[in-house]
Amino acid sequence: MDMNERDECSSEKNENHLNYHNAGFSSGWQFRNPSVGIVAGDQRGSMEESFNPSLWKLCESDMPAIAKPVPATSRFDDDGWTPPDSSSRGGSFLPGGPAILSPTLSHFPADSAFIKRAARFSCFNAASLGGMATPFGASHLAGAQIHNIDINMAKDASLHDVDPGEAADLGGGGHETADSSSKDLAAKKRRRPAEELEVEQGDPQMAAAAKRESVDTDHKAEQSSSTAKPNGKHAKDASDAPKEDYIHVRARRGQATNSHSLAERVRREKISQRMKLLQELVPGCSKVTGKAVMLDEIINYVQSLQQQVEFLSMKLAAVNPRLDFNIESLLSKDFLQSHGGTSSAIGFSPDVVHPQMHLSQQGLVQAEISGNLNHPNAFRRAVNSMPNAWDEQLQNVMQMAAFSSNSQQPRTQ
Amino acid sequence: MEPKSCSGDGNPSRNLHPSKPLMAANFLRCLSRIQQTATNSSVGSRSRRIRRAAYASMAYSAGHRRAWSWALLRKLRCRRVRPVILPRRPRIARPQVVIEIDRAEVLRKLVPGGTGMDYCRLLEETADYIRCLATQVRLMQTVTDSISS
Repeated sequence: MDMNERDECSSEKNENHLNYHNAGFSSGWQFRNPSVGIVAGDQRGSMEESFNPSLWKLCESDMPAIAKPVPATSRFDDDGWTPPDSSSRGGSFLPGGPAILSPTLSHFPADSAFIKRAARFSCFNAASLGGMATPFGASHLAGAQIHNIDINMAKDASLHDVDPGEAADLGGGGHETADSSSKDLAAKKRRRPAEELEVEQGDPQMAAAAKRESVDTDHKAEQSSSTAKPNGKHAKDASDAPKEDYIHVRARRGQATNSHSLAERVRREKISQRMKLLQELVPGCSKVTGKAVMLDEIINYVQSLQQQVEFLSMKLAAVNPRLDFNIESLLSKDFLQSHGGTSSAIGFSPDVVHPQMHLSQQGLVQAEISGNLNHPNAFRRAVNSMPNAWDEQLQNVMQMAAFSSNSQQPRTQ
Repeated sequence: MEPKSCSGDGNPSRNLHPSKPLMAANFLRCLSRIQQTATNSSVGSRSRRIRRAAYASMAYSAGHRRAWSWALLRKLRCRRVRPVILPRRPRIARPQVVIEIDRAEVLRKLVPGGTGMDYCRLLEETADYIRCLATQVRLMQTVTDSISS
């Protein structure tokens, strides 16, 4: 069956399909790319940000010929499913908010290269749609997915007269081609996007649109009403899951949509997001790609940091007797408690020095300070020359120590 | 004398995480205490204490919301004299097929509290741990630099 469908899905027919999708090209992108619109509360923004660019890149690599400015639409809705609005969006999908599914596919770009490729891929997609997440190349699937989605969307658009002008074309061509060329294929395609859509947030619009789209290719008559049939089979359960509390995932085209694989995908994307964070943290890892190497780097870095702590603690232990930290700790405590944070040491040092004067009863401390601070000036110089930027706070602490010690020394001597 | 009882300022404020002044204060306080009370002990024991103080101040400033800081504090509080590293399973040189699992195991051993987490959480905790460790290292570096100059 799949083979038959593949044969049927001749390129020309697909091209016919695709011709309608001139304006809606980007919508196809959208379907495929983020496809994991994770809408879990606070994760929304970060997920969106992190997923979309990478996914966009993936798309871009797949379809270099596509004229549509991919980056322009790099911000997907969380749900990753916003079919191109005919008018307002003009093919560029605005981010944010729940997916406002407006089943208006009017802006598919006429890209012949894309069409051809999608035609080729649609056959693959047909096979993949038959079932499961067959490990087709993501790029191939993308093309096929886009193509298929475009087909469906086009048909949907045609059906719903989103764009009268285009709808006419879409309706005529889409229906014909859909019915004639690849009924089964269309059914599968319709099922897939429907499923995908349904897996989305419980956006009624989206579900409705998905249903509409899915059914369109099958039977024009049944378009809007009997949407539930194919859709309901697969993803209904997933879509019926409570949509507010759970993580909302958009199934990618051509991939399995049962809840397990979706959860897997969510987990994978979470992991990839965290790996990106780690990449930024670990120095020198921006060019490293691949989980294994990255993990190696992370492990090495953690180990080196821990070794540094050991080494520095030994160093401090060896150096300690020479310097008394009491004054510093006191100063830091005063500094932090009274000033609640960083502030210029110079400005505060006079104020801090006064409490120090009041602490004259702590003769031991002062004596220690004066005695142990062999080179207060050198100390202060060292403090002032601390290169690290953040250590400004620590510098303040040290400066106060230096100031106080300097000011006290003449007193004690 | 337990350097770890550096009186955590009591405010694991995570607004500025890692909270550098907090860590600095904690650590310096611990250092001073160590230096006060252990002037006659060996360098080794002092260094161990300092190291524990470093980790303690790090964990304190990170607060209890982080798994690694929580595990670290618990480990420090228990002060059980036992080998710190309990390998969950022997490190077998495995073929590259299972590399990721091996590395996750290694990472779990490195990051405190990492043994009970799933991979995703482990990565998150590792990121936080790295941040705090780096801050602590820089703090100690500046202290030693300022002292030894």
